[in-house]
Amino acid sequence: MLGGQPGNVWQKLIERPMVQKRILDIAVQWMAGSALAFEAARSFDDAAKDSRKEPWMRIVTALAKFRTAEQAVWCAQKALELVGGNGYTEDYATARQFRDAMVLPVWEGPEQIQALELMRMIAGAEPGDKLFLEKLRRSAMHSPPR
Amino acid sequence: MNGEQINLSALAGTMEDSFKTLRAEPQKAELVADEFLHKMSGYPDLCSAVRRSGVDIHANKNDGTKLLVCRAYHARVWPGEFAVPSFSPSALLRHFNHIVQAEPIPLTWQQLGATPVKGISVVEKRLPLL
Repeated sequence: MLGGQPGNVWQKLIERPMVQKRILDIAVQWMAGSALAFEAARSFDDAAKDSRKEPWMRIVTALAKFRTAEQAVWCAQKALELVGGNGYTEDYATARQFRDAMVLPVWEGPEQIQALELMRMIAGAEPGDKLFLEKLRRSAMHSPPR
Repeated sequence: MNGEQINLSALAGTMEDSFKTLRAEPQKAELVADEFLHKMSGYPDLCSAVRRSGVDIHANKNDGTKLLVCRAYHARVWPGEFAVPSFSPSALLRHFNHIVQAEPIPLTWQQLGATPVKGISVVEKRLPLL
């Protein structure tokens, strides 16, 4: 519950517009991150069947490791904040989730390592940049009709 | 051309410019590697989400929820320069409120109010990456 301001009535947190927007923000990041994780997983299957698809696997793996780790930390942090002081204590799951999320940018390889891997693919002998643009343009062509 | 095509095409154009600049001076790649990582990592998210929303619209009774997610994600990752706060709740927030209030959930993109996005805000107006 949140309220206390003069003239304000007590309201459930979920009824507060800013809380709603923050929850949506978290949900959007989670959904987008999940889509990216599945794209990375699929790229492994594709590369196992056809070695010409390995460059895309390497690119999307570096991107997914970086982005999903960042999203996990951000989402866990914002969830913790929403619960307030309680969220920081061990009485709630948010503290553990935040701590668990923090391992991802370390465990999966720090940002700088992913960035160097990406550079090998797009600025070296590999034509990763062309592949990336091709994927982007293909997605634009197949976007929903509305 | 719909909103997602405009968004993705604009992003592709921006990235193409950035890649050309990088290819011209590959010895300086490490100086901008992190910026490329930040920028590029948002694109496959959006592409995958757009593809998924297309599947839902075509195969799942015009369910446009994920289309709203795509647009919210695009606005979050590539905010336009002229972002003016709006006092009317977004289509995604209206959808969320239906769930919170345990009301019937409109699923089609028309019911959700996910009309094609118009105007300058849908196109990334920031300078190329480099």
